[in-house]
Amino acid sequence: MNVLRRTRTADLAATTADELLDAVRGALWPRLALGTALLLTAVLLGLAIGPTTISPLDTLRVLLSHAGIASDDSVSTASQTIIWEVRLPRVLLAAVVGASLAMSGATYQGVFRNPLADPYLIGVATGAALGATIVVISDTNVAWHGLSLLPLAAFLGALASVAVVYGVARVGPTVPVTTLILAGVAVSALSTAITSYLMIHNTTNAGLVFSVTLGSFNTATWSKLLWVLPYAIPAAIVILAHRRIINVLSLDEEQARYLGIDVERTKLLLLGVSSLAAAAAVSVGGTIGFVGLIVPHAIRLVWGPDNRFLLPMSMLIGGAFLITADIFARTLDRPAEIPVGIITAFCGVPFFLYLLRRAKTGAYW
Amino acid sequence: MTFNKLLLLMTAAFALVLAACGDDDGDSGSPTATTTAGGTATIAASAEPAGPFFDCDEPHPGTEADASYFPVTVTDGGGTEVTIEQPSAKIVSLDAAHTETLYAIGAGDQVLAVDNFSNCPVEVSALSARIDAFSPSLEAVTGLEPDLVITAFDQGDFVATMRGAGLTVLFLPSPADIEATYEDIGLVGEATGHPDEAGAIITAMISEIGDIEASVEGEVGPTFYHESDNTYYSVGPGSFIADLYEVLGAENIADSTGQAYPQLSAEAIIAADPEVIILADEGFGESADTVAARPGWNVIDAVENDRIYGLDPDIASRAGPRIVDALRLLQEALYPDL
Amino acid sequence: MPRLSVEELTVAYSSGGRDIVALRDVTLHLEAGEMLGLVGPNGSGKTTFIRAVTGAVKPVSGAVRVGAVDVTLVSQRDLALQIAVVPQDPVLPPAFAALECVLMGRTPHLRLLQNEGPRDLEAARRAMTATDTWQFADRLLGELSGGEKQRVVVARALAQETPVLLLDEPTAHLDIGHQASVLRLVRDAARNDGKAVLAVVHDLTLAAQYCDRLVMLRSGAVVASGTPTQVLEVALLREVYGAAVDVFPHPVTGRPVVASGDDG
Repeated sequence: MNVLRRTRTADLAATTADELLDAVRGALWPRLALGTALLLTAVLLGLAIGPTTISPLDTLRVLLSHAGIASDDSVSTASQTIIWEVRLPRVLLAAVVGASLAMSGATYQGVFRNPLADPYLIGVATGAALGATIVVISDTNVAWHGLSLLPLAAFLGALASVAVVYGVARVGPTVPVTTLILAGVAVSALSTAITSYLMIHNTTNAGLVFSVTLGSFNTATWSKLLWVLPYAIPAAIVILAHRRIINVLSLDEEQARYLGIDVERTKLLLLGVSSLAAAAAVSVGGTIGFVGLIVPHAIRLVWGPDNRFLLPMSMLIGGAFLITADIFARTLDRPAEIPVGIITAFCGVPFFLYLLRRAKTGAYW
Repeated sequence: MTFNKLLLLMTAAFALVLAACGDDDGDSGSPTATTTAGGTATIAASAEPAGPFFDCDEPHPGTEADASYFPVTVTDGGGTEVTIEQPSAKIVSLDAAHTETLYAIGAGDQVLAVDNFSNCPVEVSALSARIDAFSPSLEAVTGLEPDLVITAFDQGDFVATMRGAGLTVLFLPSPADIEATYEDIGLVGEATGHPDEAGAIITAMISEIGDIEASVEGEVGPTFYHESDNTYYSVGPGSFIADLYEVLGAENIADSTGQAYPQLSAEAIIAADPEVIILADEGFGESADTVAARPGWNVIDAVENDRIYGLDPDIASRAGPRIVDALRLLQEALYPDL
Repeated sequence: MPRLSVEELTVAYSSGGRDIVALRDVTLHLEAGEMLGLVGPNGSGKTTFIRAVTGAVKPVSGAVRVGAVDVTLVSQRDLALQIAVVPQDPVLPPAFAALECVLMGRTPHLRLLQNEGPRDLEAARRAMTATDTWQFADRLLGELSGGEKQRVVVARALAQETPVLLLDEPTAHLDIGHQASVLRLVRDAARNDGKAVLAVVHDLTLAAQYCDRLVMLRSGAVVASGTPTQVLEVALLREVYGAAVDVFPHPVTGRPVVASGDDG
């Protein structure tokens, strides 16, 4: 039972199918507008709030001056720099990473028809951590295209892990869901074991590895943003194009096939692009947990499981959520940083307890 | 506009952007790449005419242990009373700082094996056995049949395990400040039969450090940011290195965190505007160039005045005789005009 | 030309090192406008038949054609434009509305980026009116009873607007009233819309009541084919089912009624 239930149409016989469909689906654009508003608010807050206090007026002046309106001469150079050079790439990166993780999580849940599914299930997180750890302990420092080797290694580690899981779980042309999940658990455990072994021999660099395993946007740069966009945007386009198809996939695979969907190819495509986007997100932001689970489920609780709305909204709310979490990450312990993955984990626990209670009282899934 | 039309528009826009960028390396506001650590003013150890306080490249021959002090009972860092019957001839050191201390007090001949991080002085390269400092193997240690083991770590109750295997173990965890370092050196001296040499070293250290302190007295200490790794982990109150900085009268921007090893936020560093930046992470490829290239960091005082210095972490993090050298190096970085 | 032709279909698979023949040389023709009942004991291959016809399993030999087209040569989507299936015990996501579920039947008609249009809504409405499910079009599937859900799935298959309709045990788990209404409405779909309908029916009497023709399978092979009266012959039934059954004509319709007898 959805929280925001539309009222029942009084006289169905007289209603046209068109009108009923609108009533059933609810207004798409106003809701997306709400999501966009939330995201923009989060962006503005992210630019205005931080460990150093800059007045909202000054923040506004700096933003407007870059738009060509107003001047920011009255604002100190340090403040200008912080807002435009430090906070802006950080906020935008958090938005893209949050959107990617939430969108990938929603896609995984739709394809697997399982509320606990998300890319971390098949090894994206543990693979990224392993890749990053290998670079850290090898003490290499070669930079490539303005980016240190670390995000690249994390990305490759994530992809390698997914490839291994997929290869292990494949049965002929099909990839049975249960097998995939089991293979994911096994490969993740192996990655974690290897990572732990490597870390034992190199605890001096533990802080660096923690930034990867717990997530952090402290070192956000424009090049990191440009690194993740070529994966996030095409993935978003492909996934959004398949909104209606993912709805059909929420029936079982047999029915989806009878309705004309090439299930294996569609699964491969959707899981492929969302894993790619998640791997890219993890490689620049670290393995931030719970975003792929909390955001889609929260949206389902309020507005239902229709992927036509769920997928784009997940992107918007995912971005807003992670920006907000990052604000806390850099202000709660100021001037020290808390890894943002810890903040999202703290949000995750009460949320899941709440989900558990709701699941008992009625279906939202 | 229907959603799907919007989707097509997004795809078209994205394709246009891709075409326009070509093989752009993303230069719009992003830092340019540097491939090696370069352009950093590394503090030269040979600036002092007298040479380093503890020279790793010079041999440190051992002297005869004084047997008249034995048997001796010392209380180690864990509070355990350890009795040593006679001067040890087969010492295993599981910590680089203690290794340097042993050689400084003339116990070099008594050292049997060291850990994998001990690389100073030159004599250690001749030792055949190496024990892993972070995850030592009990078998490897007992197999050497040492008569004394000195360690700074107690991972997984390893100290108790070694004692259970019948070994004599001195557990001396890393000291939190310079005072504690003197105590540790004295303790090692007592335990190995070189109390007088230990006393002499300590006196020399107190004198040298006293000189350093006097020379900066009355000077206005600069604000600094000490970078431990490239995700902006730093050192703060409670850490050993912070004590070194305090002796030099410098002001640590990480003081307000109250944490010994805090991770600082980029904008907090920029806002604090330190006058000096000390990099302990050159091994990660960080240098003055990479620091200056970070978005927004160019407005920092230290960057504008080119006061970014690399610091060998081996010197700065070992609480042994070389803290004098660490202090000298830091003094040069913080007070270049003295 | 028959809407659906199955020629000498043989389906086998290996399990535990042995070869199991699920269907053996099954030949069957389904004409437009007729309703054919596929009957037989458990394990006789009825569900495998449906899977083979829809291309889910590849036959060892034989062919399945819809019209003139071999089903193994067409894409999943094109097949879905020809054959609609009402599966046994379909899983339905509880938080979708009934209308949304029925509209999913229009999937093969829509291109990837295309949304449902007036044509699709009209098909859905017609299907839901025929199945008497329009009254809960905006209710969530989780709120519906088993019988109502089953009718919604049938509506979905009808909305798919295909020349062939296959139903796998559409009356399992339904009470007498609903069993009758579901079979009646698919029979009407055959008669009024000219669909070729094949239903796997468990209950022999129901099959006889509503189907024009019956095909009986045993151990993967066809043992009888014809009108209900012809197929539901006592001696054959006793042999195929291995039970004491009696057959007598329905007092009103004249169609065979099968009752389980007492061995004594």
